[in-house]
Amino acid sequence: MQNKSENKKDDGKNSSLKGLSFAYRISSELLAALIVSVILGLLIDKYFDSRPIGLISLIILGFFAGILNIYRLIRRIENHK
Amino acid sequence: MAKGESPLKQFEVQPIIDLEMFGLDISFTNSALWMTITTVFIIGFFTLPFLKTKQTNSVDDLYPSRLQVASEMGFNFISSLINDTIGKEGKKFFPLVFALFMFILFGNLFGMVPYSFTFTSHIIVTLALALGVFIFVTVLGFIKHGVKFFGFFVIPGLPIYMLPLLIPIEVISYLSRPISLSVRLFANMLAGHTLLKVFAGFVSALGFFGILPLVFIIALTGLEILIAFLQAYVFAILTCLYINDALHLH
Repeated sequence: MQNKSENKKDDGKNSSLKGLSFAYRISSELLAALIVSVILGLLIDKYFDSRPIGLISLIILGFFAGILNIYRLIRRIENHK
Repeated sequence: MAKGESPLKQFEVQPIIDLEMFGLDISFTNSALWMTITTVFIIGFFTLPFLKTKQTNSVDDLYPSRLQVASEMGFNFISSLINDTIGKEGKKFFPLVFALFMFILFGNLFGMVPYSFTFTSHIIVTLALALGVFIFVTVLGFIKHGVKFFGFFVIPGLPIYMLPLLIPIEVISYLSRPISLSVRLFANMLAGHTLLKVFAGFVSALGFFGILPLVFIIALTGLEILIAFLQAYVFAILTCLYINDALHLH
């Protein structure tokens, strides 16, 4: 019982901090997935000599991955409430 | 700032002591100097308050010193963070998360001191930290679950014909972790410090009206200190979340 009330107090103190940290994370998740997919796409093109196809398909996959990252993040925010 | 000096000049790495070993340039740079200062400061900050030099046998002995309260606050902050995100199993990983948090926090804060050097504004530093976390978490997952760790890339309850599409997406999502960790920290520090320098250049250029950017810089400095803390917090909380993912898989 006492533990629960302590947790609640803690949440109130850190809620604005948590909100800001989520805001910073959302922007970088999408960017990071795209960076990784571009690097992977260029590497695939280099080794299989398939110049635009690997890059294009990996960028599309990377965009999906970024959206998936953001979706998971937002679901986590919803769980926190 | 001298006239005509680039706002990016503050990020230049300059060697202080030239060293060379096995054909590699391992000079002691200003970046290394500030990392050393940060590390020494952290060690001092967390050991000095607990070295009681003399017993006065008065009531004062019972009160913790201010420095001790400050360091215990940092300790409690990370301790409760780990408890919230990983749970009881997370106790083992306290040293890792705590060291990362303190190193980044004080690196950012020392960067706010004029004429100092912000080593967290270099992507190679943040990428090294993030890759360290990434490799640690991956190895931890394999030790804990063995080959089953690959099941991490498969969302449970998904039709099999979706797997060829979703496994690459999951792999990209997993590989993007160290990039997002490092780019976030590096970009925030780089942008903030560049912005401060650019506005500082306006102060001398505008003459009397330079007071306006000066007021703005004061506000911006406060924001930068908040960001310095926030980025260290984000790095620590994400390390906790990744460890939690490796321990529990989904």
